[in-house]
Amino acid sequence: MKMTETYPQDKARTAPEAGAAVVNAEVLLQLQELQKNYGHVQILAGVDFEICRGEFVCVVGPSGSGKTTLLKCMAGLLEPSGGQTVFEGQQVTEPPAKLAVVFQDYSRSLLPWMTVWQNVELPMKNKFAKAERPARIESVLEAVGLGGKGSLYPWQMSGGMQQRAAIARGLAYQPDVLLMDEPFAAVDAQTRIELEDLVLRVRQEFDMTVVFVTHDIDEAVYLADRVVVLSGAPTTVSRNIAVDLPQPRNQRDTKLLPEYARLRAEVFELIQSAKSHATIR
Amino acid sequence: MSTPGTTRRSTERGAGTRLFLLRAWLPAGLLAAWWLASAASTSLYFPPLQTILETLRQDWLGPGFAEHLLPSIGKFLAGFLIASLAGIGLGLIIGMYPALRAAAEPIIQFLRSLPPPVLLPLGLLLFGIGPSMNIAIIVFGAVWPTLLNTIDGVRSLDPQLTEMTRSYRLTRAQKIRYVILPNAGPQIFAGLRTTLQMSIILIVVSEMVASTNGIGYYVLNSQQTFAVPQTWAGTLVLGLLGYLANLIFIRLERYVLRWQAGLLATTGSGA
Amino acid sequence: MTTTQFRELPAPTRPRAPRRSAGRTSFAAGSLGKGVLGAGTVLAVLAAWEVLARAGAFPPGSIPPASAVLAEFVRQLGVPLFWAAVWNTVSVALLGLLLIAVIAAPLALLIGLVRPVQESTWFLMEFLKPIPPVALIPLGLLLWGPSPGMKLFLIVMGAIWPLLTQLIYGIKEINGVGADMARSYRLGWWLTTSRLVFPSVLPFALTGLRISASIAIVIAVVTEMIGGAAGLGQNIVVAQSAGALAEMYALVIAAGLLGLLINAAFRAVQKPLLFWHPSVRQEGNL
Repeated sequence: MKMTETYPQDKARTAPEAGAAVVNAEVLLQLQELQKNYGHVQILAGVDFEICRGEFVCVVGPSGSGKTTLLKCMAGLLEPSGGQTVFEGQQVTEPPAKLAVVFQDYSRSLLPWMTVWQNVELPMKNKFAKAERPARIESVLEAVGLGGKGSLYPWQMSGGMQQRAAIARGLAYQPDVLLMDEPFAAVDAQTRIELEDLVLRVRQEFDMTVVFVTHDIDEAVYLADRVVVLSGAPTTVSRNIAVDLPQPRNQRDTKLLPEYARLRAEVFELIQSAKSHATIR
Repeated sequence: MSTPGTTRRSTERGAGTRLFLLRAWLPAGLLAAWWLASAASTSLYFPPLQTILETLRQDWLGPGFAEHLLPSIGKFLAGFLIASLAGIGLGLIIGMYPALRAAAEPIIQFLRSLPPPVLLPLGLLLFGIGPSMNIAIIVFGAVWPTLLNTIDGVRSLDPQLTEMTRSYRLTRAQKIRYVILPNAGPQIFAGLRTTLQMSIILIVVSEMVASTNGIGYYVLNSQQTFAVPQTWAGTLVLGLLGYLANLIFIRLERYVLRWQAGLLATTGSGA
Repeated sequence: MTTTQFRELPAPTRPRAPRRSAGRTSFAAGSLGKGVLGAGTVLAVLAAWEVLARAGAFPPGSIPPASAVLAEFVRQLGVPLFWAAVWNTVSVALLGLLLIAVIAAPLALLIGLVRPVQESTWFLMEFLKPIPPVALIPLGLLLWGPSPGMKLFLIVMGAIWPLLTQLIYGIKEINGVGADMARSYRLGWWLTTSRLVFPSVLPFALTGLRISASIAIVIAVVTEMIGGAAGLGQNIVVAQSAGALAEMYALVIAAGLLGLLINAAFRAVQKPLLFWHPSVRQEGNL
């Protein structure tokens, strides 16, 4: 494992050479010419990229570019019409055991008849012995800021807290990679900022590879080691952009950096051109 | 903190008393009116309420309790439980497989449209007179609402929950136990409530035509022998039984679906 | 309207909340394939019945072959007495429903709008609702004998509750956002009643009426079977005691079809009237 090359434990580290590091890193997830059609409509027209162990990759694209479809193909929830996803050297045909998904709509993916604790515990039942679970649940709840809140039901909590619970469920499952599908689309702006920093923190703490799908350009640049920009439908990868912003990130300082503004503009222009391209078609 | 608390509680208690009085005056008044109006009655058909209540005490709190009431309750419970379990079990299976659902639909629709009492002659032919016939009639007559609602409830599972269970690789048993059944719970209970009401109807009717004991038998028999106070008393007991069964059921439903009450209270609506 | 989802309704017919799964209805094979599968099952059941009956799998003298029953059913369709019996059952049930509607509507308005009335009648309603309607049959027989009047009385007593409770729910439902809207736009009495009150209550009324109708039929049939009032139920009992098994089963099937027809009628009325309501827009088949 060459984890240290792509993903430093050292929080004080600055400016990772993302482009160079990726070359040496262990490839965890590969999308190879991934295609998906619904009837005659082509959604994905051969999407190709790789994700290395320890990376934080944001996938952005204009609305309607099949981001969720792409994520579902990666997660083994949808069968692609062509091409394949390879996870840890194996073709993905069903959801892999070392992969977890945090869904967009927390209110629909948490079970309202179970407490937060039970929700987090449910997927662990097949993976961890009964005795191991409590300590682990306690620690992930602590990590997402829900320490001591395990006995609440999801509907007794705010939207932000519910999404924290959904993240905790993903973390507790101890996957090698966490797929997040526009996880903050439904929360307010303040909460969103908190949750972004939360994700960055737990990614460090739990040594996680993250694929984060979003339509928000600021969010993508702020969070990612690398941004994968998609074209409009039918979708392909229009560019891979390495994000050389210093770690740890900070909502105020990072967003004031000229480099941040430059990256943001670059992604913005790509998406704008993808959009106008899509409308012409 | 304590002073406003206590005053609030005492005003609440005052409001509670008022509510109780508001709710109690009409039933109490009606009972009193019945009592007074029938007190001097010499009509064969409308005996004094006092006579009816005395008959009720004699027949139903004495030997009648073991002879007529217990068997009825036993058969009713057996039939209702079998119908419930069969409805939920079959509904689960049918609901999970669209092809099975399409195949079973016309048959189920027909059977649930059948007014259940017309099954009585059939039950007589197949089972003769006795408890097994009474129970069978309840099962075949009352299973449908639960079956249909379970199918519906199973189908109503949010696709995102299905994806969640797949991506976290829950086993089929776990999916049923932790996701499908609780999700269908509210609808299953709505079906069970109808099954319950149907079961009560059917135990009474089936005892009327195919039993030598039980409350249905008692009431019809008393009517046929013109034992008028007995008929009234039996009718009252039936009413009380129906009321109690419903009360117990609602308690159970509230307990099992307590998560839902909280959910509704916080979101404000059924969404 | 989604608040109705978890109300205490007898369930198969309650207004349904919209299903979130939009793409789910077109799941299996499409409606044609579904129809074929369904028809196939019906035929298979009939065939199995025929074979089992002919092979002597049922207790002797209990179930005649399907072909005999179906032939008898077709024969019954040509018999005036059969139609007279059906009419006896249906007409009283319909009359009962009409009476129920006439009684329930003003009662529901009173209970739904006037708080003290609601509280005063609360216990009485809660007590009377769960009483099995058949419990009153012996009493009805005692007081009136096996007459249409007795049937009518029992139907009204037993089948009024679903409509009444539904109407009360529906009327209470209006006292929300809709009422505020009407007041803030100064819609006036007529517009408020015709555009707000009536459409809001309609789904509840139809649901209640549908449940009341099926209960009314049940009560009608039971009183005919046990009390000996004329009608389909009585014919069934007579056929059974005369040992005319094929006829008895044919009549049972007729009763089932009658129930199906009533359901279908309500569905047909509901669709154009409630095209905007989630329960219709998302109508699944089961």
